[in-house]
Amino acid sequence: MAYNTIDGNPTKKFFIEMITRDISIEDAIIDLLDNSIDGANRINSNSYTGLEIKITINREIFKIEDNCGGFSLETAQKYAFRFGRPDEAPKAQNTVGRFGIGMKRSLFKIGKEFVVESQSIHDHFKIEVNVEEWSKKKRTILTEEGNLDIIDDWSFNYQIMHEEKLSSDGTIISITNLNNEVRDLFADNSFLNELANDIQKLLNFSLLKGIKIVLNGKELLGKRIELLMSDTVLPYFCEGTKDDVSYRIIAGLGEIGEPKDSGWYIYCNNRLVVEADTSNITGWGLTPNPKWHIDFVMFRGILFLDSEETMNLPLTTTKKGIDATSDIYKAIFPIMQNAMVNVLAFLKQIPQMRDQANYYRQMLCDNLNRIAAVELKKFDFSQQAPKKFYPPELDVELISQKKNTVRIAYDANKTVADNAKNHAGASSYKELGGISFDYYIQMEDLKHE
Amino acid sequence: MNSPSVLNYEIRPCKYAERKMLLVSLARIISGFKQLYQYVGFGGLSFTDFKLFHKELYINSMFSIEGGDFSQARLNMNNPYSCIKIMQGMSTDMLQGIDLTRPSIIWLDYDDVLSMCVFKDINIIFNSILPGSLYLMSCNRQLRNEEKKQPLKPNELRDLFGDIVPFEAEENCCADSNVSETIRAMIMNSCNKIIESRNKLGENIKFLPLYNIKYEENRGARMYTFGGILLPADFDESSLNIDDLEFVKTDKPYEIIIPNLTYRETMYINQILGDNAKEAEAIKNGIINEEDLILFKKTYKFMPNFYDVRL
Repeated sequence: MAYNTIDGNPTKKFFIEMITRDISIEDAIIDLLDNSIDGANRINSNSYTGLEIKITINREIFKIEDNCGGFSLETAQKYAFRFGRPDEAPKAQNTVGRFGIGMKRSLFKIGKEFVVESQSIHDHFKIEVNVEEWSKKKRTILTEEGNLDIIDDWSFNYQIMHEEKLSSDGTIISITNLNNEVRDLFADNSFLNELANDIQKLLNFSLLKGIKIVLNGKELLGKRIELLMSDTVLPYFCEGTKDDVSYRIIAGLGEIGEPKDSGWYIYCNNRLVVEADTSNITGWGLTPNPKWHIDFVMFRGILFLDSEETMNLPLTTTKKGIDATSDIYKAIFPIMQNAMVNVLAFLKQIPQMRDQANYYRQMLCDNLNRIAAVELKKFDFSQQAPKKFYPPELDVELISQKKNTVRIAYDANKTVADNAKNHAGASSYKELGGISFDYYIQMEDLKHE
Repeated sequence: MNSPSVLNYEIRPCKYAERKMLLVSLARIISGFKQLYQYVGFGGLSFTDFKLFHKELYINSMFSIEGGDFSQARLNMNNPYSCIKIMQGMSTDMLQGIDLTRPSIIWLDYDDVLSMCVFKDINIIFNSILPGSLYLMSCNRQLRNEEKKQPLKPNELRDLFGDIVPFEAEENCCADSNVSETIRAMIMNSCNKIIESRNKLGENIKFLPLYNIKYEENRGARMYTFGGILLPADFDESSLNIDDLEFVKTDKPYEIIIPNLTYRETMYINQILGDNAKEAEAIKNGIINEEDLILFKKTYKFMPNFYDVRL
């Protein structure tokens, strides 16, 4: 019996369209930066000082150059330029480039011609691709039935570089013949600002570790995410490991400053994927915790998740958010809620100090030390009990005094009120309020219990 | 939080009976664990549960959380034993200051209706306590929309308590005949979420619900008590030695009703209790009705005796 075959292979054009559809240009660029940072991490995971990534973006070209060690031809052959990550791939060591289509996806997203050149301690090679030509490339094979068949050729060609050494080991990617929508974006000033913001946020940890990222000549600096601490004021802390993922939860107080800095920060393998979150993804407004409120402006929570096997991290496919339905996140989530219960119980008391509240908050900011996220990741909390927040002292007397009073406010006819103010000899409406209230209590014989 | 100023806890008969029931069962349970317990509760001004558990359970480390506005001096004056540490503040704050990883009996007897505070406390407690520790809570079981003067509807309940409200909650979930079970389900949901997480992160524990009690004091509040014990997952529950106690591990809320009998009637019934012929005769003669006799049999071991004594 003869079989007819249906070609089940996706065409390359369709494939390119599929893998680039739901990734934004910003993400494509960040993916490429991640590859550079993975390199930096292989050189020295504690400090990236001296390492640099230069990005050039304009209507004609996208270029990214780094001195972060490069990657070997073997890596390019086996992983970086292969579609999908083979099962025998070594564990992606604490990187976020876990989908195996990171680099290619980004390249396809941005333009139609690209050159990837990498020099590492192993070798130095260059891959030049014209996407249009590549997608038409075919090759002939011998089928099982013994017929010759022409199929899509998915391979890339490379050349080993013996001359023209790079000044230091690293990678240079340049993309030209940019896709139409990309060309317009790259000429747009607000896109550059947004991209700078994204880089500063997502690569925050790496920036704080000392890597220098330059975008069109401008150096990008990382925002410092800090907790206020002292010898006695210590954050809530809990850490552990589940299924190869190690977690570290730290929550406490931060600067009053901007309300938009308040909330949870989640790092996955040092990449900030959730920033200043005050939504129910991090437990706000979910029993037993309240929705975010300005009274909680000083709340800061940091969750560090790390895994050698990045597939285990609860990341969404765009790597830009947390997959809240993942088993690991669901297991840790109640601890984050516990951290909030502990810290918010303290913060809730501050407004009871009424007019003293802001002064008190400012005093905390002035008197406590700031410890940044990079340091907190390694901070030794072994001296304190886990799952406990050690809050600053509150003036309980002041709070309990204020707790027994309520503020009464109402509108009254101005003429009548002025009249009454004169009549009572009150110097202000506020005083008139007090006098008239006392008068009513006295007349109706409504004393305290 | 000021209910002691309204009524002295010590003369509420149902509460008294409940306390004695807890005492009997707690004594059995903790004897199997061979460890010294601490007690955490809301002692108020009368410290009734503290006095009872200190003397009867030999607990010498006690914490009374007081969220009312009694002065520190008045609280200290009323503190019956120096082993009781009074902590002034709201329970959610104060619980953080107690080492709950020590063997604990925690009975939070809220004198208001169910509030988010209960679930915050549960969060703190269940993130800390270890197997062998007990958690109990009591509250006014009424969950009403005060404007409409009606029990809360499931959507109103969800507005207040979010996703711990059972999915199956029906329209009448807060009617008095159902509200205890609704509260129980909400508390169990909260506890289990944390226990599930702890198990996922490497522990092997379970929470065994023990107490599911409701009662209504004469012209007083309708109360509900829930409680249970944290155990290793493979713990043999029969070794708690409480399976003969009819008021523990009940599926439906166990209701405490104390028959209204005079001192002489009580003494008489005590004498004839268990003698079917004499019981039947007393009913026939109109000394007691059958309903009261049944109630009496359920509660006589726990009933208080009140006497007027000249001091």
